[in-house]
Amino acid sequence: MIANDFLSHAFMDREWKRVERIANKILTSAEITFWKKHAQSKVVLFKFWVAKEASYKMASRQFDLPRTFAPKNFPCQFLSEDQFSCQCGPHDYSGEWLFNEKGLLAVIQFDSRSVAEHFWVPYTNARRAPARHAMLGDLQKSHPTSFENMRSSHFEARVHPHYCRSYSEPWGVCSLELNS
Amino acid sequence: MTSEHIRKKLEGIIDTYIPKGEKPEKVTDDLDLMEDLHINSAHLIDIILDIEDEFDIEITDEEAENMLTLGAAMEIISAKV
Repeated sequence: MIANDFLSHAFMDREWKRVERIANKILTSAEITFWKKHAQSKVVLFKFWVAKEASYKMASRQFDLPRTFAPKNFPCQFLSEDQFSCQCGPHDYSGEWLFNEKGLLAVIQFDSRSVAEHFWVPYTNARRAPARHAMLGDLQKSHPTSFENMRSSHFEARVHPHYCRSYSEPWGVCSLELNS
Repeated sequence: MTSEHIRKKLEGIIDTYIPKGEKPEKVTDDLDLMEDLHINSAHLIDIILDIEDEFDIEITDEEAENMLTLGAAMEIISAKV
């Protein structure tokens, strides 16, 4: 099983006043303290955000949790610059961040020995839904898969030879767990 | 502020974050912001902040947890303005 969450640079590039308000909405007091120690870096803030989201998604998939929007209920810690741990009730998850020119991705894998591959997928809408659903069906048959959609992605597609070549607009990140 | 005014302003805020082509013909109170309107979870924060700005109110963490439909948002705002 795999869960991910992604934010584009466009999303993270907020005016400072808005960033501070987001922090107060999503971070616990301990996380706020950590954030302040790190010069209130935008990246640190959004690392917390994607880690919480990915953890919540993983817990939801494993335990069929009711949907909610309560990021403060999922306290996270930096284990290093690239790794985190998050708590969802009695469940602890560890994951990793990938930060590159496309944005910030958090990935949690149930089996940490397996390898994840990430590529862009088209955002679903009425016109694209049939093709996208067929693609997801194929992928889910062969791999534990997680998808994160973003409404506005400002980067070029990484064209997947089998699934994505017919789409001109990438809208999300697909994470595949391999070798599981 | 009347219920109609609140609704008009709220729909204007939410419209901003509905992906192109995803808006249903009729927006009803029971529509789920994420499931039905396909608003990304990251933009739920934006909606909450925009509501605070537009209506000059503060949304508590508990209220934010329950703000998953248009109707729920209407109720929370109506109780504060």
